[in-house]
Amino acid sequence: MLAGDGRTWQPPAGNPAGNEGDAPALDYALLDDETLVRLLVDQDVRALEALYTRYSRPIFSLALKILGDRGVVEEVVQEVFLRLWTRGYGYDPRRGKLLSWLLTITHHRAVDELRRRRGHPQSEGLQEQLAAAEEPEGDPSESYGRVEERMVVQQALAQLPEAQRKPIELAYYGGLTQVEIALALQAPLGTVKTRMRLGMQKLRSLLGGQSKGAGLGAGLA
Amino acid sequence: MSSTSMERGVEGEHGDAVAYAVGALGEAGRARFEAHVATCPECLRELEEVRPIVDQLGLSVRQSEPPAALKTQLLARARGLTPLLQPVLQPATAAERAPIAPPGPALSSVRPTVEPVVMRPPVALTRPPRRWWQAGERVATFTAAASLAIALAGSGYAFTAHQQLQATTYNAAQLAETISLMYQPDMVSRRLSGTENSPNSKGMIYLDPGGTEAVVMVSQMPRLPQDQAYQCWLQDREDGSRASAGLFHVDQKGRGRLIVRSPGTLSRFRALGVTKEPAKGSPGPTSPPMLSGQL
Repeated sequence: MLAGDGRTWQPPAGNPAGNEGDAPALDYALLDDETLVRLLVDQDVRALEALYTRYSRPIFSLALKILGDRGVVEEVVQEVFLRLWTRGYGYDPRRGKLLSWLLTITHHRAVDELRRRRGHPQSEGLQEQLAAAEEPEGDPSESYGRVEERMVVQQALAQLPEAQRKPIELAYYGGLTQVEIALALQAPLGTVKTRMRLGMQKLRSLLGGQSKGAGLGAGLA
Repeated sequence: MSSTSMERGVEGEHGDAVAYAVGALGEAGRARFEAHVATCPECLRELEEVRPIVDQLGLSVRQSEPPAALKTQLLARARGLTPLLQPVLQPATAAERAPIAPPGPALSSVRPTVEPVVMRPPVALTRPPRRWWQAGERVATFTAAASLAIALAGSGYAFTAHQQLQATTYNAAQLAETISLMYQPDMVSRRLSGTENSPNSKGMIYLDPGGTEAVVMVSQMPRLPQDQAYQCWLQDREDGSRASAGLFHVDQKGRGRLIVRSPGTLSRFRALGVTKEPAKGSPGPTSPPMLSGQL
């Protein structure tokens, strides 16, 4: 779509051809993700704005958890949404929710940035990574219901044996590869893989029905 | 689960769905797993099962509101990254190729996330493919069987169905027709804005959306050498393709006018753009727009 600047033309005085025949304005906040993506693919920047308003918080929060550096996180968030802007055609609603797509891209981008800054695997970074798992200061305006939902997941994680929880946390929040985790924990790679799989299976049984899209919807609060 | 990958310590093979989902594979491992899962229903099923859990991990972090300025910056950058300035289409990244689990039944195979750019089959009016602003993109042959007949006002060039530029002298009849069109009862106006390539340029299009004629008026456009001309394009609402609406030049003050006559109603088009092209015109845009606007 050829971009206009969205400004309403104010006709000069006396120009009878200056009437604007615009359709009634859409409330983009009421449109579903799929519709907004379609509009966004057509280069409607208001659709991008609506999706940013809807999802910037969880995207920013995840990147902040992984990277810790607000300046870098802001850049990552912009990259994620600009990627949506320029490649939104790649999103297929049949394959999952948009937020899941965005979280995946955010996680990959943040981990890639983390790894780039880290340079190469260092086993002595384990304590640093574990410390990074501590929750940073959050938003005091976060709703109580949302806090509860987060706590459910955190509690489920806490119920895992440490041998299963650590590899998951080191990977997902710490950006370590299996090889790096195996080095850090001084365990065979095969053992790390098994523990990670078992831990994820247990999480799945603990979180049960919450996993089927409900979490993604509730994640917006 | 095959123990092969575990025994060998190879990343990204059978059994690595969880590792992939939590991002525990290196770049090579990711690529290897994505190739594997495309043909492995077992790993795909496992990935589908763990994906929602991984999403929960992502959402369970303490929430923080991004700074307000970030939105402003993003939207400004996005406007600068409209199709006008997009780079050549690049392959999808691993994240975009990631087989995200659908909420429904398991997929039998992983579908690519990037829609390939395809050339449309020859039709009476063959239009350029969708993302035509990108340099290097192939341009479909413009057969012009139903091309827009153009009369060019201003500096007196006329654009025929065979895209030949003929010099004519400006005359009062053309000016009278321009004014007559602009003052028709159902005419509406739309603003055209200069792009990064020509930020000071301005324009207006006067059209009756239900009609077939419009007037484009531009100002502050850079003068072009003799071997170049401005070409106006209209973008189809349905398929996004661009149809040429004619060629024009501007005078010493950067002003120009163009009367557009469409074989069908103008409501079929959703946007307009002006590009710099060779003097005889092009079948499709070959350069980023200098002026554009929504209809």
